[in-house]
Amino acid sequence: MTREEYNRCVRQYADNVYRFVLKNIRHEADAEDIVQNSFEILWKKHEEVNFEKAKSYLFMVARNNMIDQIRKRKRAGITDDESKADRMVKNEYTGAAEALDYALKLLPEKQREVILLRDYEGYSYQEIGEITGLSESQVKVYIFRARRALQKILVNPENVL
Amino acid sequence: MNKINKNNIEAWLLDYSEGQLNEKELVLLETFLEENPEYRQLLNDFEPLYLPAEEHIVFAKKEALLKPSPGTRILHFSVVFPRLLAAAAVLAAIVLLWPQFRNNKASSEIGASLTSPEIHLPATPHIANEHTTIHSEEKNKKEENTVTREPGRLASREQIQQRKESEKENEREATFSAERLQKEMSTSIAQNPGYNRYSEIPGWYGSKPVAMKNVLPLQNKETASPNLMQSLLRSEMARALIPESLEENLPQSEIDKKESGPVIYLKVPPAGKKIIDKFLNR
Repeated sequence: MTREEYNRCVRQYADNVYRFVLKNIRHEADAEDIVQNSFEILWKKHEEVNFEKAKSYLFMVARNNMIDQIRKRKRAGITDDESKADRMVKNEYTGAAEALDYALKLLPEKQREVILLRDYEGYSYQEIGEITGLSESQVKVYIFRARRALQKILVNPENVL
Repeated sequence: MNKINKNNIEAWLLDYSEGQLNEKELVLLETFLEENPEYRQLLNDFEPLYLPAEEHIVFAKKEALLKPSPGTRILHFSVVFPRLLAAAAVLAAIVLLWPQFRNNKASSEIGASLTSPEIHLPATPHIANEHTTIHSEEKNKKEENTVTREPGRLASREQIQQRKESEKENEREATFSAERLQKEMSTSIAQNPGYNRYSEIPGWYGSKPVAMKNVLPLQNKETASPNLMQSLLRSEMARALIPESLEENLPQSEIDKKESGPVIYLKVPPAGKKIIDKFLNR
């Protein structure tokens, strides 16, 4: 990948990677760091990575970074601000988007990852498998479960997965 | 697809809900559901929900991730600008006064010091910025036209004519018009679309939107207008002066000050390093 192609990746994919990470970890500063770090890694490897594969590579790197970050946060005993979630459980959310966002937050990590890659980025199941290290069949299983879980949560927000 | 079992049935159900199964696969699924009716119920209850794209979520620090071309460096204006301005002013003075030094024998000593390697402007091929190239080409042309009179002899008519032309050219350069600068900027922008940005820089040039080569970040191209001022010439000069290797020499703390102000990308020729080093007290 050339310098120009790398810069094109920045312009085309930085938002997508950021959205994916932010929706998963729900922490803006951490999400920004992860995106920055992912692009730094991409730049270091830009001579080895094809432009066509750059997006998947970026998501893969960002995902690995994200998992490390989540583990660190868990080890440090940091939890998300639950006030919003509490409001949701009490059915006080204001709109469909917020409700969906809340539902997404309640999904198990793997389900959330794969459904975000599918719905936000339009990746094929095979591509999601490459990014996450899952088989295509496993990806489909997780997506099926994620869609079903979202459906259940939105019908009854008190459903706990 | 693999044979249906309880581990992968959900994958089959997803494919079914998305209409991805062929006739043969539909028969296989139907057979499995007959044997395992609990999954038929699961399928009947399944109402897939799709997440809407949330394109309003954007990564604000995108420009900082870009890698400029070799010879283009990122400097932080708030850190470097005062020094650059000083360097620009000195260089502008040198360029503007240069012909006078050349033509004035009495000031030959000063002229000689200005042509010392320490502050010598590079030849055209080494200059990355085409605006500066224009200046240098003109300078070279002027040097060719400069009359070299022998002491004690009057200049010939031809020599006088050449000198007049040279003076006119100096005058044209001295009255560098905004119109001409704008034309040059437009050319530059057309030739380097990847490196040109419109940027509104608060507190700089009276907060007017300016169009400059290699200036980031891109803010509002639509609203920015290339209202170019003569003072922009100074920045052009400054840009011509900064050596490529300067960024490497900058302390990491300065490079890291990404939030301290607008970021500018500067194309620089290899020469001029000593001058800048001098201004930066290196």
